[in-house]
Amino acid sequence: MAFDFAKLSPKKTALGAPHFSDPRYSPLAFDEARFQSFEAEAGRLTCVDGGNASVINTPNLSVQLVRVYRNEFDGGERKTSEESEFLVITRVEPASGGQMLLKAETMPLNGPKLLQEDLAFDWADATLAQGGFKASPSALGAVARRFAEWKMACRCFNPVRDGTLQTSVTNESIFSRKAYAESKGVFSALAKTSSLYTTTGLPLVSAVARLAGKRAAPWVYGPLCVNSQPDHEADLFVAKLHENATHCFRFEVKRGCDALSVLPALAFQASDLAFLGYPYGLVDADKRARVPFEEARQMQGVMRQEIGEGAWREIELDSCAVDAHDFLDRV
Amino acid sequence: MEFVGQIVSGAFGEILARQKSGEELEIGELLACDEPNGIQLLQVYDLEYGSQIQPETIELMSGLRLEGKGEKTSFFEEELRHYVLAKVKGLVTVRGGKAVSTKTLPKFFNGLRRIRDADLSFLDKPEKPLFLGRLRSGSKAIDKRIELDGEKVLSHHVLVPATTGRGKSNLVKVMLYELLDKDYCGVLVMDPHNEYHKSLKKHAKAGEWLKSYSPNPEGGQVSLRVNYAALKPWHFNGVMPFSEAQQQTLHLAYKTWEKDWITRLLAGDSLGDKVQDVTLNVLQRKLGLILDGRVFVKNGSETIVDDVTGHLLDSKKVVIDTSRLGSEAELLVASVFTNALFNRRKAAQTDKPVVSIVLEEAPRVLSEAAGANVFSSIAREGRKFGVGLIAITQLASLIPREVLANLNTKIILGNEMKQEREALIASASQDLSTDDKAIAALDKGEAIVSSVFSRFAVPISIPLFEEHASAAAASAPARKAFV
Amino acid sequence: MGDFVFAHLSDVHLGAFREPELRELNCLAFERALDACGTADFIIIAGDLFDSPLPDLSVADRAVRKMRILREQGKRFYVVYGSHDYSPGEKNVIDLLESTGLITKVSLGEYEGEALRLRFIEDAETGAKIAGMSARKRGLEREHFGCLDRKALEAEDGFKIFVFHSGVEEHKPDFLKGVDGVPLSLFPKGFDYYAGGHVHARIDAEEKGYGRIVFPGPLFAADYRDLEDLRENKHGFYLVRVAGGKAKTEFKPVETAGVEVVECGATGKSAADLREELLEKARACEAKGKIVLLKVHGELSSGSPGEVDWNAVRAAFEGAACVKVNRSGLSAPLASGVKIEGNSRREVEEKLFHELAEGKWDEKPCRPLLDELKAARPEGEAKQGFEERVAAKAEKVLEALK
Repeated sequence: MAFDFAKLSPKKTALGAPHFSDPRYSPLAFDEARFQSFEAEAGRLTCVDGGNASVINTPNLSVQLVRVYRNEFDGGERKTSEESEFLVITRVEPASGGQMLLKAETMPLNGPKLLQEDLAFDWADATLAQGGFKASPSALGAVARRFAEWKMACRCFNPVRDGTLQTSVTNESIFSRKAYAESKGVFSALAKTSSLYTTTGLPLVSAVARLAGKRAAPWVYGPLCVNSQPDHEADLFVAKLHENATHCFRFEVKRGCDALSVLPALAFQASDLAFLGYPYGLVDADKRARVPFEEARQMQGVMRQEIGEGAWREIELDSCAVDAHDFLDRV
Repeated sequence: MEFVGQIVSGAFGEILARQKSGEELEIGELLACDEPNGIQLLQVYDLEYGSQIQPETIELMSGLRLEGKGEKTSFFEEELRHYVLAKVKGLVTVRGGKAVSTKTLPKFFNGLRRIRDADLSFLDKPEKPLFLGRLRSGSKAIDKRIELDGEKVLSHHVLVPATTGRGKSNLVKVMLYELLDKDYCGVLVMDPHNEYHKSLKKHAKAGEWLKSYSPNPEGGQVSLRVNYAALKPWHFNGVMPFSEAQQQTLHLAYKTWEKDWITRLLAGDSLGDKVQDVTLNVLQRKLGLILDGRVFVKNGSETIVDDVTGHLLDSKKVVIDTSRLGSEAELLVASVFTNALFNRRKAAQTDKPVVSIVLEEAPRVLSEAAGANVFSSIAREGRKFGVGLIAITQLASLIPREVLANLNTKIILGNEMKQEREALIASASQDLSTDDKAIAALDKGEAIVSSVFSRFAVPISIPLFEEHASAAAASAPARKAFV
Repeated sequence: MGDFVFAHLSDVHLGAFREPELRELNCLAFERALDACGTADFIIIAGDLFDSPLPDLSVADRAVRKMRILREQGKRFYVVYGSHDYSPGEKNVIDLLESTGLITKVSLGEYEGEALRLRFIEDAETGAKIAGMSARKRGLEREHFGCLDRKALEAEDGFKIFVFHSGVEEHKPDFLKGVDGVPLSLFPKGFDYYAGGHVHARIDAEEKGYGRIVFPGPLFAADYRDLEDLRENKHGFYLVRVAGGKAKTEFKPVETAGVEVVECGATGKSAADLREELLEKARACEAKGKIVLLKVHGELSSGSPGEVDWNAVRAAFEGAACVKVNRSGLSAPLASGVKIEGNSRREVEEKLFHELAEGKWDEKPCRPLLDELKAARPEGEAKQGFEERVAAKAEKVLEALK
C-alpha cells in the first residue's frame, strides 16, 4: 500500500494561545505589543551546565561520573572557568515496609565539592519513577547533577542555566532557592528545547517566531503567562538573540527580575559564528560539561583495576541484567 | 618558560603539537622538548588548521561573511577554538651533552619551546671543519656555525642539488672561501661561469693558497694551456662519444706515437692497415673541433698538469676558468687534471690530504649515458684514495642510484621538481620522507644537509658570500717597501 | 730611435762552487761573454750576477775589472737583483757596484697606495726604456707583481724592456714543475722584450699580447744540475738586435769546458770494492780538460762512505779540469734515523717532535717556538734587531708555556 507522504506536510494552523496543562500557569494571549527589541551589549554573565555518564550500571549499583561547569564572560572576554567533577555511587538498600531506598554518596574527583550531603530517595519517588516503574539507581546521577548545577550557580554573577528554572525533582527547590539567594545579579535560563505548545497544537516557540514575522532580532516576547508555581520562580519568555539566527529559545528570568537586564549580554554572546543566536557561554559550558562515553569507559577501566578482577566479575554478572540492549546493538 | 606549542597527539615521527596563539611556527622550525633526562630536539615538517568547530559549520560561517550577512557576527575566543596544528618529528635526543637517535615519544602534553644555544652544545667543532652555513630554524638563521668533519665529508663526496637561482654558486663560494687556507684538503674547481676566482681572491690568504688558471688570464691567473703531450686516450672517456673502432684507434695511436700521438692524429698520419682511413678522418675531425689550439697547444705548458696536481696535493685550491670553453673542452680539461691526480694518488698509496673536485652539471659525467670515466671511478672508489667529488646538478634524478648513494653528503637546496625531490629523499642519509614540503619551500640561501657524518638532517642558512667574506676578511698585511 | 744592440745575460752566479777550478771556469765564462759583447750598446744582467750578496772579493774584483773595461768603452750595465745576490735590509755587492757608477739598477719604483709604480730608466744613447723587478727570497716578489700598476707601464711608448728575475708560470721547464712562478697575467703587456733570469734553462718564446720572453739560462753553471745540463746543452747569453723597433735574438754560446758524467751504483758493495770500481771507471774515462761529474748512489754492504778514498778517486781522473763528486745518494749499511711521513711540512715537524719526545719531555713548546725561529727577517729590518726580536719572542713563548 502506497503511503501518501503529502499527509506529512504541515497544515496551516492558527497560532492559538500559549497552553499550559498546569493551572498554576495562566496563559496570556498572543499580543504583538509584548515584543521588545533590544541591542546586543557586552556584559557579565556566568553560564552553568552539567553532564553525567554511566560508569557502572547494574540493577543494584550505579556509578555515574558527573561534571558541572561554569564560565564567566565579560563581553567576549573569559574571566574565569570552574569545573567540579565527582562520582555518584548509588546503591539500593532495603527500607521499611518492603520499599527500597536509593542511597547515593558522592566522591569528589576534581574541583570544589558542591554536594556536601549524601542523597537518599525512595525508589518509588514520583519525580524519578517513570510510567509506574520504580526508579533505577542510575537516576540519581542526573539528580546529583541537577543539585550540583544549582550549587554551582550560587558562586555566580548573573548566572544563566542551560534549560529552565523549573525544579522537577523532590527537594530540588531547596537548592534552587539557595541559588537564588546566594548568587549575585539576575538569574536566568535559556532552553535549547521546549515542550510547550499552543492551544492549536503548534510548538509555542515556533508560534512566537511566526508572530514575530520579519521583526529584526534581537527581540524578546513575553511574559508568556502568569506563573504562580512556587517551585518554578520564573517569568517565561521566548527570545531570538541574533538577526541571522535560525532558532528562537525559551528564556526564563527569576520572577520579578528584568529580563532586559541580561538579554543584551546574551545577545552579545549570541553573535558567535559557531551557533548564531545561541550564547557562546552556553556553547562552551555545554562542551566542557559533557562526559563522553569514552571517558566513562576509561573511568570504568580504572575502577576495574582498583576493585580487582574477582569483585569485577560479580559486578559484570549483575550488569547483565540491564545491558543486553547494548549488547544487541553491537551485534 | 616560553612555550610555543604543546604536544596533543600523534605517533612516532608524526607528533601533533598545537601552536600557541600569537606564535607562528614555520615549516622546518626547530623546537625543543625538555625531558627529565635530557632534551629532545624536534622539527616542524607540516602545518594544518585545527578547529573545535565542525568543518561544515565553518564553511557556513564563511558563507555568511562572504555573502555580507555576517556583519554582526564574530568568533569568540578565536585563539582557543581555531589554531594551528604542527606536525613535528624527532631529530635527536640530547643527554649529557651527547646526541643520540631519538627512539621514544616525548611526554604527552609536554610544552615545546624554541631551541637555545645550550641545546646545541653537542654540535662540536670538528678538528678539520668544513663550514656549510648557519643553523636554521624555519626561515630564521641561528648564530651557530654548522661545520662537519671536512676530511671525511670531502672524501666521501658531496652532492649539491638545486634548481636555478636557489643559491648553489653562493654556497660553493662560501664553502671554498672557508676552505681556502685549510691544509687538510686541496680543491680543484671547474669554474664554468668564471665566478669563483673573483670571489676567492678577496681572501687575505689568496696569494698563498689560491691558484687560478684561465684561457684569458687576468691579474694573477695563469694561462690555461695544456700541452698535447699531456693528453691520453682515456682522458676522452665521458667527454665525447667515440665508437669502439674510434676508441681502439685512439689507443693504438697513443701506443704507436707516444708523446706525439695527438699531433700526428691531427695531421692525419696513417696507422697502416690496422685502421681504416674513414676512422682516422672522423677522429681527425672530432679531435680538431675540441683541440682548437687555444687551450690545447702543441708547444709550451709542459708542466701545467704536474703543477696543478702538485698544488692540489699541497692543499692549495685550484680554480680553472672554463667559462669560454665548450662543454666538451671543459670536460676534457677536467678529465686531464683529474686523471693525473687520481693516478698519482693511487700510485702513492696515501689518502691525505683529501682532494675534492668541484664539478657543475655533474650528470654529464655521472649519468649512465656518460659511460665509465674517471669521475664515475672516483664516485665509486675515490674515497679509498682520499679523492672526492663535489657534484653540482639541477637534475639529481639523472645520476644512477648506486652513484647517488655514494654521494654521502647532500646539501639540498630548494627544488620545485617533485621527481628530483623524490630522488634526493630516496637516497638521503637520513629519513627525509616527511621533508618533501620543506624542500619545496626552501628559499634562496636555505638548505638541508643530509650526511652520514651528521646526526640529523641539518637545516642551514647559507650566508651571502659578499657579507660573509667581508666579515671574515682579515686586515691586509702591512705593505712592504719596494726596495 | 735608431737601431741598436744589447746583450742579455743572467744567472752568472760568480763565486758559486767550492771547487776553485769551477770558480775559475765561471769567471772565465763571464769574461768571455763580455768579450763577445763588442757590438752591444748596453748589457742587461737579469739577476744573480753573483752567487751571494757578499761574494769572495777576489771573484768580485775580477768581475769588476772586466766590467770596467766595457764601461770605459761606453757600454752600460743594467741590472736587477737576483735571488742569490740580494739580501733584505742590507747592502750587498750590487749596491756597491751601483754606487761606483759601474752599473745601474733598473728595479725602481714606489708604492702609491696599493699600486706599485715602476719607473723607467731611459738609456740615453739608444732611447730604450728599461723597467725591472728584482727578485726576493722565496719568490716574495710575486706580491709586488700582484700590486704592479701595469696600465702605467703599458701606456709608456718607445722601445720597452722589462727585466725580471722570476720564473714565468706559462714557461717553466720540466724540472721546475711544482715550483711557483709568476703568472704571465701579472706582467705588463706590450713590452718589446722581456729579459728574464732565474730559470736555468734557455727559453725564447713569443707571447700574444706581450712580446718576446727570453731566458738565457745560466751563463756557465751554478750547481750540479747546471753542470749536468752542460753536457747536453750549450750555455751562454743572448745578443738582441733592435732594428725598426723590432728585436731579433741570437744566442751566443760561451765555451768553457766539456762535461763527462760517470755513474756508479754502490748497493751490495763494500767500501773497498766501491773504491776499486771507481778507480777503474776513472782510469777508463776520457777526462782530459773536462769537468767530471761523478755520481755515486746506493747502500754499501759494509764500511762507510768515508772509507772510500775520494781524493784518490778524483786524482784518478787524469787531466780533468775538475772532478765533482755527488754522493748524496750513497749511504752506509743500516742507516738509522727517524723516518717520518706527513702530508705537509707542518705535520712532519709535529710528528718528529712527538717521535723524539717519546713521552719523556713536553713537546708542546716546540711548535710555537719553531714558528718564531723560522720567521724570515723582514725587509728593512737590521740583522741584529731581528735577532734580538726573535729571541725575545722565543723567550715569551717559553714563558707562556711554563
